[in-house]
Amino acid sequence: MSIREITFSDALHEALYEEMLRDETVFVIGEDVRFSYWSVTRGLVEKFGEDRVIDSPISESAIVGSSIGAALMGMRPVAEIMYAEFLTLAMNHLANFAPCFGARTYGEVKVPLVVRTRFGPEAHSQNYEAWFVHVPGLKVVMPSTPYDAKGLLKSAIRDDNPVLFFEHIRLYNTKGPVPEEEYVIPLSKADIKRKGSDVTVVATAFMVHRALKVAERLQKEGIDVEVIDLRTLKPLDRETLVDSIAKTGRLVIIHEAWRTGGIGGEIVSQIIEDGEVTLKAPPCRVGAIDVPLPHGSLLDLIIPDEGRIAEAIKKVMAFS
Amino acid sequence: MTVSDDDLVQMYRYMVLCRAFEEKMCSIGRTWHSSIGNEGTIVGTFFKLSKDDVISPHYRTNASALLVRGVPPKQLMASLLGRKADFGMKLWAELRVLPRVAGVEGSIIPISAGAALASKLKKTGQVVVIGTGDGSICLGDFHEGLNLAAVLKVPLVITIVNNLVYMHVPMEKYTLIKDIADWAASYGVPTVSIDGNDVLAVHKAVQEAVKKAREGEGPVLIDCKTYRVTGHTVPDPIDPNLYWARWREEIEKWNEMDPIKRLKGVLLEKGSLTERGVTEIYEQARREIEEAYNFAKNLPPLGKEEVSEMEKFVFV
Repeated sequence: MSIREITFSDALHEALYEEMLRDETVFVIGEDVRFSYWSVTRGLVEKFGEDRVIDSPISESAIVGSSIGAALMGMRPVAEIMYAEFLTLAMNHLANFAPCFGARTYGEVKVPLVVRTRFGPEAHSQNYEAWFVHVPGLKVVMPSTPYDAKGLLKSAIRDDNPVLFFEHIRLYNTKGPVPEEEYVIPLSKADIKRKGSDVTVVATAFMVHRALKVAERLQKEGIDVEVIDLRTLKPLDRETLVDSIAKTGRLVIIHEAWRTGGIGGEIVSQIIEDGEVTLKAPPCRVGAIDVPLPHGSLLDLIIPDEGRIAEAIKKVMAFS
Repeated sequence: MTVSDDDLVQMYRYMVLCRAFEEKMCSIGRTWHSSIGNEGTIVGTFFKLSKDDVISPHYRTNASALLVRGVPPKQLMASLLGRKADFGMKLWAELRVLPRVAGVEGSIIPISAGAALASKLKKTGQVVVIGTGDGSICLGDFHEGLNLAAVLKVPLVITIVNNLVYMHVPMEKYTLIKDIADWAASYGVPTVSIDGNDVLAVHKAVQEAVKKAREGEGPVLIDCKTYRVTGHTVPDPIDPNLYWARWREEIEKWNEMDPIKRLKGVLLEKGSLTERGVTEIYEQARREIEEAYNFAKNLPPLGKEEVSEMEKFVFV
């Protein structure tokens, strides 16, 4: 198997390119997707033509609504909502329509739709992923490496359910090993990014990288941190989480979304409610401070930094 | 285009059947959004569309449109009463009716534009024909959807079941435009404004729009002006006579223009039907709907099994 180092955004581009080549029902629709400011869909139009790489008006509700309609008819649209902030404009279709067809028709109707969006340190960034986890019928994906990004996007496109795919802007230019050969990653498996025995740290997207850095630092202080990259927030890979927490007895969850109502609370509930694992310390959630996210430099003081992550880990370790 | 006398009689039968169905639903003590008075628009739109074409009627006219599409009254009644029954007729797979999973007005415009886009991309030749109410024209989705449909030039025919009122608010109170056509035209969508109580005019306009859409000329909007001669719901918790002084007068005027009465006049004059034939059609429709109701109400109600079944398909 030959492996090269490519960027996160190139990995996503490859996933789209390969799936469009493989299946002619796959098409891309969104704002400025032909030029593609963030480069993920750039160049696809030269290969696949204007019919399959559609520059839409700036109409988020119509982008998602029309993608649902096309998916009902057997197409596999990959809609792009330029920034996560704009998801709110398509909320009606994302919450009331896309996820409901399968159950409401007892499986007669499928909506094989992917909605890609991006978040991170930009003018239009918000972290709304937990809202979508709440709605039955949506899958929610949030990769942290080029390898995962490619394999998960390919699976999302092949999946018969609506999938929300969150791409972190800070990760676009990060490089990582990606095989030349085809592979896919199931939308139901978390990934242990670092093995450890003292404490389980569950993180998403860019926070996985911060958690890994902190884990290296704490190793020198004698704390052996296991870092689990959630990869898919829904379905949640409860098994991997339970196995790890049963081993370590300590749980810290880190995400960029606000602590209140974030995915962290859901993970804690699912882990402790049936008493399957016994925790040695109360679980700890690290998230954005509960203030509206500002643009610019203040943002970095609001989302979890290495200091707050380390502090949380030490806090659960100190509990005896 | 010409419409044969047989087709006219057939449309008459459907209008009478829809009316009988609606009257039954209004009489059984459930809250019902009645489409009495809209039969000209409903039957004119959905009569004799190709089986492959995709349809989506709006909420008020949904039941009647499904009857025209070929759903047996028994099946429709069972589904509306929340009864367990497997008729084996699949609304999507067989009748190409876009499923209604949420009641948000206007959302169907972009969804149907996307369905029409799929038809264009796959070159299946299918046209998507939808109905929506005038109440949906001030929603963002109406405008986003029309604009997208126009710019992508998709085969979509939108009929507006224009009651000239949403709930209890008349059109001149919720928009300053005089005609929905003004908005549609501004997006480059050709528009026909017609008398929605003239079933023949509606039918011809829809068939011509479908032909154009199929030939690749893009979306068309047909504004069918009709009237809601009942309250927003039946029974209506608001007495429209108190709420809206002009209502009684308007109802009387529109009842004079009742679409069924009008077509009956045409058919009698042409000699396509006799008074006796008219009575037979009416009695047969009443009988059929009565049988459907008695059949459906005796079926067991939906229960836990259906919830479990839904759980299985949250992810398909």
